[in-house]
Amino acid sequence: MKFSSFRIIPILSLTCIFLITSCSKDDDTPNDENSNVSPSLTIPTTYNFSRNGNSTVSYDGQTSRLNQLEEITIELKKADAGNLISSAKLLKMFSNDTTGGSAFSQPYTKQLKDKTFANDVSFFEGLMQEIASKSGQTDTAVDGTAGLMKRANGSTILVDANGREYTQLIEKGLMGATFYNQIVNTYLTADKIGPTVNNETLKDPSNGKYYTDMEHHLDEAFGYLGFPRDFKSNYSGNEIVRFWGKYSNTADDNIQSNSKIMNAFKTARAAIVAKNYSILDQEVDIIYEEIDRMIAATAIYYINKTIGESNQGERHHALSEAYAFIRALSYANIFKRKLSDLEVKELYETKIGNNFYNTTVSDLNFIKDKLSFTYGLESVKDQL
Amino acid sequence: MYKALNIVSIGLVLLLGLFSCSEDKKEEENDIDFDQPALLENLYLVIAPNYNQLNSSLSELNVKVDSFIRSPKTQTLNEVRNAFELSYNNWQKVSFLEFGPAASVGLRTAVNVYPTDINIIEQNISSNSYNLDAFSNLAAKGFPAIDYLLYSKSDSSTLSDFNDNNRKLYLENVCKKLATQISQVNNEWNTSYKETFKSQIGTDIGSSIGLLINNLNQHYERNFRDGKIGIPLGIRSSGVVRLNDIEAKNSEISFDLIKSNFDAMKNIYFGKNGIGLDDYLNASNASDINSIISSQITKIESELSQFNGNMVDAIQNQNQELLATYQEIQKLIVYWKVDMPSRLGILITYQDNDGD
Repeated sequence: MKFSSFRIIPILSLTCIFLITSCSKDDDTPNDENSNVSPSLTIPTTYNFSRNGNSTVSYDGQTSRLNQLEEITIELKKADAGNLISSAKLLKMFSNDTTGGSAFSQPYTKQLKDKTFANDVSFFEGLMQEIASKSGQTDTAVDGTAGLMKRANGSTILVDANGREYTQLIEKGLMGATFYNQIVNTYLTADKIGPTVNNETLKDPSNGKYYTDMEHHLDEAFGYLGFPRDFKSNYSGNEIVRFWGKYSNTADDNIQSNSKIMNAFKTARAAIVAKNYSILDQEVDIIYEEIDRMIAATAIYYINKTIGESNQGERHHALSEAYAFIRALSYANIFKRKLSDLEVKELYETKIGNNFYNTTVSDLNFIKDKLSFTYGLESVKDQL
Repeated sequence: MYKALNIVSIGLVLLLGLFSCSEDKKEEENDIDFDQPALLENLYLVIAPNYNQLNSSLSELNVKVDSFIRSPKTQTLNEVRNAFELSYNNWQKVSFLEFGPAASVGLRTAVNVYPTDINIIEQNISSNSYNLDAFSNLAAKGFPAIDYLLYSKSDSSTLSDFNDNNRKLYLENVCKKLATQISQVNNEWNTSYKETFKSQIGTDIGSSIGLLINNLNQHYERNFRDGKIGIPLGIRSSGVVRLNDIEAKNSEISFDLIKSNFDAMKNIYFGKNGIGLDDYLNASNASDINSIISSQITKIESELSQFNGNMVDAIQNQNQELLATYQEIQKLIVYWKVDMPSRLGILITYQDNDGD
């Protein structure tokens, strides 16, 4: 077999993809950001919607919570650097307890704790107390004793007696237990965007709320992702990419999660405006599926990093990320999930195990195979 | 699968688009008349025998270990050391191929983490209770652990240490584990991965050439330049040398390993006596890049020929020469990592560890 030109192949395949996409996927799903499903559905190129010149998109509460987790992470990283931190301050931040003044750099009205998966609140509070109690030390971690581990660039991480990095378990953990949990178990459910939810009257136009409840709820789901409004594959825009946005961006090269999730959100939002609820349902299903796939891809990305990593600090860091992202999948919506809670538990509790010093490459390959099979990532699992 | 590949191609088109806007490489548009399957066929013939050779030398090592632990004496010690040195040299011929079978088991990390952790090794020996697969033991096994066990003390002390059954068992287990892991990867290169490697044509992220060039570069930068030379020399520590971080510190065969490693990477580039990346560049209107790379390779080989065996001696007695060698090694990175991939339309996708 001889090739006259490798340059031609991508161009041919560019043509092919639209053909393939249009026959293999749900035919009525718009994949191109400018396409229209029906004459009544207007899908914008960015996540911006307006009514009579007034923007109808609002998710300040979510942005506030993203800011709070950012501030908590800054606090946690002080412990990674060997400094003492206070558990009272962390717990105050988590619940945004303003007694005696805000623990944050600025006052917020919302809090993370009451939006965190209820059964796991004590798990996260426990971790916050533990990191504070182990903070301020400069001893090197060994199996059985918490301490610092050096990363490749010389910086350190604080790990527990089992070699798990507190900062990752908490930060990435709350991305799952709070942000993702709120998206899939609250805002995308029938209670928030189903037939009983108001999509007729505007909330409070005299106070700048030009949106219906249903519109607002979808925006709140979107706001938890940390995606810029103009997010797309190969993103090169200037807006800040945060939390899930960052990980989607990393996975995007292989699974185009940025565009898939964005397009589904934009189409779903347009369907709400057009009151086309069958399209809304269909797009919401895509959102569920693509977010879960992105999380699984992120977990595999960190598993791959862990397997090839010779620096102990980097390895435990990457494995802590993998652990937290796999754990996030346990918050998947009960009607939409692909792995049961027990199946996810088996992956992080039994396979990775709670002691990272005992984890093996074959444990991780088991997880990698299971996730890639379940979430349709087999063709890209080695290059994530 | 089809879709995934196609999507990757779109990214490539977009990227090529960017390249052609920002750089004046009009010849990129020209057809490349090159037989890529023949290149992969030949590269397979360069790679596979190296794995086979490594595999055989590890079997031999285990035979010698067996004789040694039955009867620890000068002769058996020398035999086991010779078998170790041969195996460690053979490892250098495949160490940069951390993709496919090797990547899925994390081979490099499983067999060559140095500096080795003496405390964990001694703890394992005295407790006689350990799982060599556990992450906690990655720095307590593989070639560096054997280097420590066989060479860190005088011959007489080593021989008397090896009267201890736990130490015998540890050496045996480490060597067996090493052989098992290599054998698994070797086996895949000989069977299932053989066709995979040859059939993944093109220049996408997952193509064999894409994987090879990415891994060659990543290895060259981190493990060859930094790991073998730069870090011990103090390049990453403001000139403060780090003698504990030398590869093969106790057996003192560092420069043999460095030369074997560079030679093997060179063989991949030139395809030994057959089609190599050099021919691919020539066919891609990039013979200018090929001549620069070829002469830089010659230059590095000549630099390396000044050194023999012991890295500690070189750092102390030939410090300026070694720094100059490092600079020449550094120069090749631009040609291999930037020029070659861009002229062949290959994306360098590996990145440094995320800082968060």
